[in-house]
Amino acid sequence: MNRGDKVMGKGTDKGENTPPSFEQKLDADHFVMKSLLEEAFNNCSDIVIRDIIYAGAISVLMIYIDGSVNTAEIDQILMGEIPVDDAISQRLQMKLTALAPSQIVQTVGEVVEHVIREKMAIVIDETSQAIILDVMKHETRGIEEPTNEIAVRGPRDGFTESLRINTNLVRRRLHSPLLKMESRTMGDVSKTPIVISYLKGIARESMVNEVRDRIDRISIDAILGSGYIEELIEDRSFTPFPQIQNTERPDVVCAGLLEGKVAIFTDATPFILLLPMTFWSGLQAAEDYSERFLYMTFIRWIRFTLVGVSLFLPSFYVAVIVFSPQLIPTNLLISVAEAREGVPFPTLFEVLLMEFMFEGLREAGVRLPKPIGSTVSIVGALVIGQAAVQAGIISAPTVIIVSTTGIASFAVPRYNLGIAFRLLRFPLLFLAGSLGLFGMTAGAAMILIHLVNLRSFGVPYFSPMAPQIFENLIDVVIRPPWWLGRKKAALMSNVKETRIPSQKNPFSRRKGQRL
Amino acid sequence: MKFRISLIMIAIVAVVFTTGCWDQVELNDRAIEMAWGIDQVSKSLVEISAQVIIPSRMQGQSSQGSQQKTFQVVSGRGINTLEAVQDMQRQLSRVVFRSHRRAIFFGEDTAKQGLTDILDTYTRDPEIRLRTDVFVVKGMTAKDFLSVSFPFESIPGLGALKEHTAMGGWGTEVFLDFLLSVNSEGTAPTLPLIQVTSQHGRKTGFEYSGRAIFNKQLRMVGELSSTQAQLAFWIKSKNRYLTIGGKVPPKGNVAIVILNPRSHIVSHLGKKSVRFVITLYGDGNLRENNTELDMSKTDSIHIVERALERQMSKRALALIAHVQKDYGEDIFGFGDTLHIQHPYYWKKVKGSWDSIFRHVQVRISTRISIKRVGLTGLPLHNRK
Amino acid sequence: MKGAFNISNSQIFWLLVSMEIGMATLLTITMAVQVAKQDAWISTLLGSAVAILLTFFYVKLAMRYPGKTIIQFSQDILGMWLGKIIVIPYFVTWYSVFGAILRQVVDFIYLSLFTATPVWIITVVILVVVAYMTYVGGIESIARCAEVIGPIIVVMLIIIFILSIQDLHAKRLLPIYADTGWWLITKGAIPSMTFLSESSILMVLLAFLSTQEKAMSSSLWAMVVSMVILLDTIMMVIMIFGTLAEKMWYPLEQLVRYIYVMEFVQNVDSIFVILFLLSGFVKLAMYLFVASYSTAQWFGFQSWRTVMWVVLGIGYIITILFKNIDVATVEYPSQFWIPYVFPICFIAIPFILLLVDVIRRGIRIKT
Repeated sequence: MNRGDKVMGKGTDKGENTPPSFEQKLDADHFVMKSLLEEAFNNCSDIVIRDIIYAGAISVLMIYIDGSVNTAEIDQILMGEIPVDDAISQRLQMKLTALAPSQIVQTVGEVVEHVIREKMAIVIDETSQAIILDVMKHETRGIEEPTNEIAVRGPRDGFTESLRINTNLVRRRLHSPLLKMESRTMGDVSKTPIVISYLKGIARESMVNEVRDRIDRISIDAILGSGYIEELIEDRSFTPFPQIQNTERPDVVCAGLLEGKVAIFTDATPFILLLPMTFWSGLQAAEDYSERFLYMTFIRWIRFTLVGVSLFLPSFYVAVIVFSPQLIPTNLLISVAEAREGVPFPTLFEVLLMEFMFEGLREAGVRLPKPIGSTVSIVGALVIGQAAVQAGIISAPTVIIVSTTGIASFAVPRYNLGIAFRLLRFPLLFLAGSLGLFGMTAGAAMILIHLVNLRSFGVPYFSPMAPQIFENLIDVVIRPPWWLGRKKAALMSNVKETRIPSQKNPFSRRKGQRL
Repeated sequence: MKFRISLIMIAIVAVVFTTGCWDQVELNDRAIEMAWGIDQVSKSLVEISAQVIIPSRMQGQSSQGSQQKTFQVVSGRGINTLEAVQDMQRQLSRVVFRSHRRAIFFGEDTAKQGLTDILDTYTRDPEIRLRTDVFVVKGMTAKDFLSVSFPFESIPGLGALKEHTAMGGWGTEVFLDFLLSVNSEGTAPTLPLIQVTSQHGRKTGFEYSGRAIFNKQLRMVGELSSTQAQLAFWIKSKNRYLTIGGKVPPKGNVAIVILNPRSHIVSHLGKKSVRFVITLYGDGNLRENNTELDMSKTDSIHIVERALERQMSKRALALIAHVQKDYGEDIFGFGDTLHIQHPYYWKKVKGSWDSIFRHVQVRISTRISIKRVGLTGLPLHNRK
Repeated sequence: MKGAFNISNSQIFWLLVSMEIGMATLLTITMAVQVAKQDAWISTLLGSAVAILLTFFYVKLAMRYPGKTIIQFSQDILGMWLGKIIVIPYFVTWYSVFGAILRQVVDFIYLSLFTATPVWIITVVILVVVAYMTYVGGIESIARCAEVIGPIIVVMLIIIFILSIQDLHAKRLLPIYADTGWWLITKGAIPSMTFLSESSILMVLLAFLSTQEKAMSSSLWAMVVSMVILLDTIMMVIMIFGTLAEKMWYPLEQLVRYIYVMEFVQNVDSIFVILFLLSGFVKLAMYLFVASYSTAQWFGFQSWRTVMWVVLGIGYIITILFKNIDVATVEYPSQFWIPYVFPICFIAIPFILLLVDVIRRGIRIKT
């Protein structure tokens, strides 16, 4: 997608682009009206302006975008027989407004505005006003399982491109009037509807205000995806770490809302933004809370280890092989030395080369058409890896290291956080290659310093680890069982108590029975 | 903000590119050295030999046959160790990498001339580890010893270490132990001995053959046989396990493996002299029974225990007398025991401990308890 | 002054722990064993007990003026000019100790990891990290780093201890007392006492505490934890190396190097170097911050960040001025730290301030 067909500059004022006639009141005269609207929608072949004589007495104009509006019922009304008298236009108006949510507008500009937002405008002759009917009918994709976030155990529905369906999916899970959905329109050209959603009383009011502020400050021609918004409202751009989470899963959004996060729905994107994001929430997968806690705790630790591996393994390998081989067990050292005999490149270059190849294969695998994509990437990896080792260009341990790292980097549940680790690998590699373990440590310290100073909408990115919030830290280190009474994240939510009232967990009840 | 980050990035990049690679040595530019030999060639000349592995030959040893050696011995001479290493480096295309060294060998002649002058670098150099095994090569120079290949191990230096460990020794702790006893006034240092075995004039391998005894000047003054050494280390509680055999009256013999040999030494101050009461403890498993005793009976276990205890006490007493008389070096650490148990008395005698040790009275008792007797009571072939 | 920092009690705890452990475990052991032989652990116990007592008074003093650093409350107590003059020794201490620690860290890193790389590169890399840590968020950023680094150090040390259990010989602690006597044991307490008394930096740090109530307990707990770890380390070292430790530069590093588990874990001292380096980062950043913040306060400058660059420069110059490793690691502590810094900055000035304040408040209540 691109923003190639940019119509107007970002800085220009809205008023300049609308012809002056748009401000004018609707004309009572039918023909004036028609020509006005035809002028407004000049060269818009998808916009239909139907001129009907209702009941053989009054002219009615129907204006809508072809295909996005359900006209059948309106047609039925307009075709219906009705006695002709003075009040005919009032009666028609009543009939129409009973059909769908409606509103009455007075100016041409408003008519145009609503029509391009996929509503139907009906102008009845001599009333000098227009009825706007919300009879939107979208061709949408059905609700499918999200392809990027797959859970073994958990709901199978995912967000679609339709804003309404998406908000419905969330509302369906949280039947509460506390769930607020504030609506905005963004983009001077695109007029994309977005919705800011939060649970009133749980999300911090100051944070919601901050989100509103930042969103209202955006001025852009078009929003074609939630990524636009993400980049425009995030705290800091010069960082590899994402400060806003995106998800395709309604259950993840609901869980986030319950923790006091704010969700931003954008029309025409299945990716819903969830903020604030912390480092540790990026390491939690959707199903963490639907599988049993012992297993998920184990999985979490596996994940932490793999994150460490994905960030440090290649640089550690280089540092150890080139600077401190005494760390390697003797027998392993001998076999690595054996494998490295005759390899023409220095270790650092070897690892860089393989990392580059790996990233290349991954990128190619993603972009290639589906049927050949996976085949090419697998075969490519095998052929290149195998052949390079056999030809003695690359040593086998390097291939093992790089592929382990590759696998590890995909174990990060949030794809965009995984990207951060993949990016940071390279500076670390250089540091390790020039200063060994010392350089690596210095690099790791820099990353740590950066992380602890990062914030996402006022919430420290590395919390609850630093600054330490003990009751929330438990939820990072292990996946606590529900009956332990999970505490709400103190920095995100207003609510201090646990999510299960302390006296009501199954254990206290059981104890009571025994007594 | 942007300015700051770009500054940091520039700094990192600058560091990366300016450091070049001073300390960077690729693995295939390192000569990985596994064992190390030291010989005193003349009064002021040391010869250092190193066993360096050849990685390319380590691959597929079995298929290519054992014609090619997997290691190379290089040596160099100089007035001290590092100079000799410099001399040695001239013969190597790769930088010597010493951190994986597991064993150090001294030629017997060198050991007899004294080790004081050559030990410093082994504790000073940060590349060298304290955890190494140290041997004295019996009747040979270390250089010659290092070039002997060993059928079981591709790196012979490791073979010596493994032999030592398999005999119940603590292997890589030897060096630290040696240094500790050198530093202590109440223990004489010892080192394991190793000897090349040969058949029809061809060297076939090497064997662990006891301990070398050193005096305070770090000169080798004597040696203990392998069995004597085991016993001496039982007295010091330094064995991991040991196997002992003994006759059981009226006829026959048994063998047991003692899994947790330890001892308890108590010093008693007399008016003029010091007396030591040593109790050797051991929990054993009976492994061989060549007597007519039925081991399913508690009584017969007792008979075996008593018989072994008597013999072990006797042997230990003889060993101590032998060391006292012939070498006069307190390898058992009696002095240290006295130091711990009677520290104020020790202050008075520590200057003359060597001469006191020669006349120290020792009483030994042994407590062996057999915990398991194997899978049979009576020998199966016994017709009774 | 820009930036009202907020640090929590747990952050104070981890700041203290990660700052105390690194240097103390690395440098005090040799000094203590040289004097008190195998009884060095008793000395350490004694020394840390005194340090804990001193810490108690530091916190008491600081809590009398919540939200104020020693630079500010010394002026409240003694008046503007006297108050300003009396804190000058602290600046001498902080500036020089920043340089000395930097040099010690660099020396240690160099000795254990490098042979050919120029020293200035190591120094500059460390300075970049430390400056970054301090610059972006002041004490908050340092405290947060300490919250991550501190637990890592403690856990790693515990792992190190567990792995070396098999090599311990309790016998090497014997005989207790007889070889040394109380005089030598007391003398051996000096290194640990003076090193751990670096907690006097609390008189600056506590000013940034958000909730004052638990300041005492978290500071004292930090000292107790540091003491336990230091004690544990020194006992381990003696139980493995006996009195050989008196001849080693870095006995703890030797201990780590001595660890050997199933052929697989061996020569892990490089990992230990990393650990130590992390602790060094926190400690250096803390001194950098304290030195520059206090200097700014003393002169009444608005931005301590500008002062920071000056402190960095001075620190680097001091690092170069040390001729060799002996000067930085042995002579600096024994000829500057112990005879001057400890009695003046860690004992005399805090007690004078406390005394004057107690008397003044007493008078005020009476009148």
